[in-house]
Amino acid sequence: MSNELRIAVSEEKGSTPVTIMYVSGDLDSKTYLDLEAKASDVIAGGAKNILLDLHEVHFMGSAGLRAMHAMSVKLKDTGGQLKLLNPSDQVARVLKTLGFDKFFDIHATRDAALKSF
Amino acid sequence: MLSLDEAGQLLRRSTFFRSTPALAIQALAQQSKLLHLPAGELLFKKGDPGSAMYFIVDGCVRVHQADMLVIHLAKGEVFGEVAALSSESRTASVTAKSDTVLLKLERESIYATLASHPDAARSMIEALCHRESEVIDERLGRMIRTKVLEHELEIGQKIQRNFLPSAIPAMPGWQLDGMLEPARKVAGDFYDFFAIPRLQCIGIVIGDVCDKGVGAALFMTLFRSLIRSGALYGGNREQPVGDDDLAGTLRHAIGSTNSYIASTHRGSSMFASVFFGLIVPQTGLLRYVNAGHEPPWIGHPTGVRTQLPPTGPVVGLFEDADFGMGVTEVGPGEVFFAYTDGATDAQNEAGEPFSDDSLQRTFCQAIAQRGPVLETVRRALEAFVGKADQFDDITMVCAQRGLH
Repeated sequence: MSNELRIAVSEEKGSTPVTIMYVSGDLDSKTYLDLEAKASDVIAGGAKNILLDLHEVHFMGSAGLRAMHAMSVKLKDTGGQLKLLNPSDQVARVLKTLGFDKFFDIHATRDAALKSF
Repeated sequence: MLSLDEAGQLLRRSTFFRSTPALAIQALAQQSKLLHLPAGELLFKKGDPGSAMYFIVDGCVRVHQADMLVIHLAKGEVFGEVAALSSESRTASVTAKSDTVLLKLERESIYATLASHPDAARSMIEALCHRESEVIDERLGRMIRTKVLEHELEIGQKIQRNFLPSAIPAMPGWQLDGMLEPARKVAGDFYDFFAIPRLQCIGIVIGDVCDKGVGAALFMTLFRSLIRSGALYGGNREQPVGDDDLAGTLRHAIGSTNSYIASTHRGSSMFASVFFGLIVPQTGLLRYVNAGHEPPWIGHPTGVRTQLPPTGPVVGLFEDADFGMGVTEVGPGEVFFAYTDGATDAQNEAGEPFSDDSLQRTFCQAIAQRGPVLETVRRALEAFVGKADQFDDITMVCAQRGLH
């Protein structure tokens, strides 16, 4: 059984506004559509830059990576960006094996991530 | 407020009470209660006990089981009759779709009406039979639709099998073997073996398309075909052949497949992890691209000598990806082995995964036995899984080089 996916959203109003999505639970073939749907809502609400906080995602399957790519494509089309924050060990390993670490900006701290937008 | 007369007239219109005499209807209407149910409010849920049936005076309700809609019922229709007329609990949940006005009829008053007016039973039995026949029709229809879908999937399964190699090319001094066990009717995994005569080598491919089911299966056929086509027919085939051509062929096949899918199917975000290797039979040289795939192994009886980690990202997402290249050798008596994570993640009846360690141990034992490696590993995996459900496709390929 996968752990239920929970997503909380907050806004960081700086010189470049960033929407932070805190994800917890398992991001797999059963839950990735929830992330995509939530991201679509956030993007439709005007978000251009999204920081995905992954430190409480303990399992990420390939479907989770698919959802992240879909988000990043949508944001790029509006001139925005998707960045990743603090992936857990398992998630970091999957990102590296599948080569996502070369194409996504991954940050260890929230401050560094926010400054990089 | 609805008058008794109006309530009676409404009830009369329902097929349930068509043969009920006017006096009895009036008595029934007198005992009924008018109920206002605001939009979105749950009236009862499946499994609840219930002793009343309802007549919709105005509005519309959703009959549902959890989130799944069974039917919408509107003005003039009756529901809740099963629990009201028997000791059954509620067979489905009912929620108001819009603001709804209901007449609530209690079991006692219905049975009292039937007892004093036996004629009234006739239309009620007819209405119940009619509803029963509708349920049977619906169930039959659903069974037929399921059968049609299953048949379509079986056709898909047969067609998809043609996208796996029907015959594995002969490679003197080597034994090549591949298997794919889909978790569902159709698979997102694939493997391929093909000879490239001009380069005097054999191509070995294993891939795992993200996600499962029909979508993954459609993309599997695309990945497999583009890679094979790129390797066999791409690049400049007029140039003299050398070792660089192995690299060129790999680069072209993976690069063009990646660019095509990443650009043409950008909106789908579908990707595959792919290992594509070219083996020169005489020398055991293996040139490869590992695009985000589980590292294949080269092993001998005492252990795994080397692993072949990713040289680039998965195929199909990043248009400007650089896939890199690896080179190694499969020595005499050694075995090249690649798998998808369905093999290591396969669970037994207790829900435990087979694991990397077990797969590696089984692989080395199989080499030591000097029999067909893949068949031995497959049997061990089958014994481990037992009767547990298979969640993911399981795919394995191997190339065993003889001692001489």
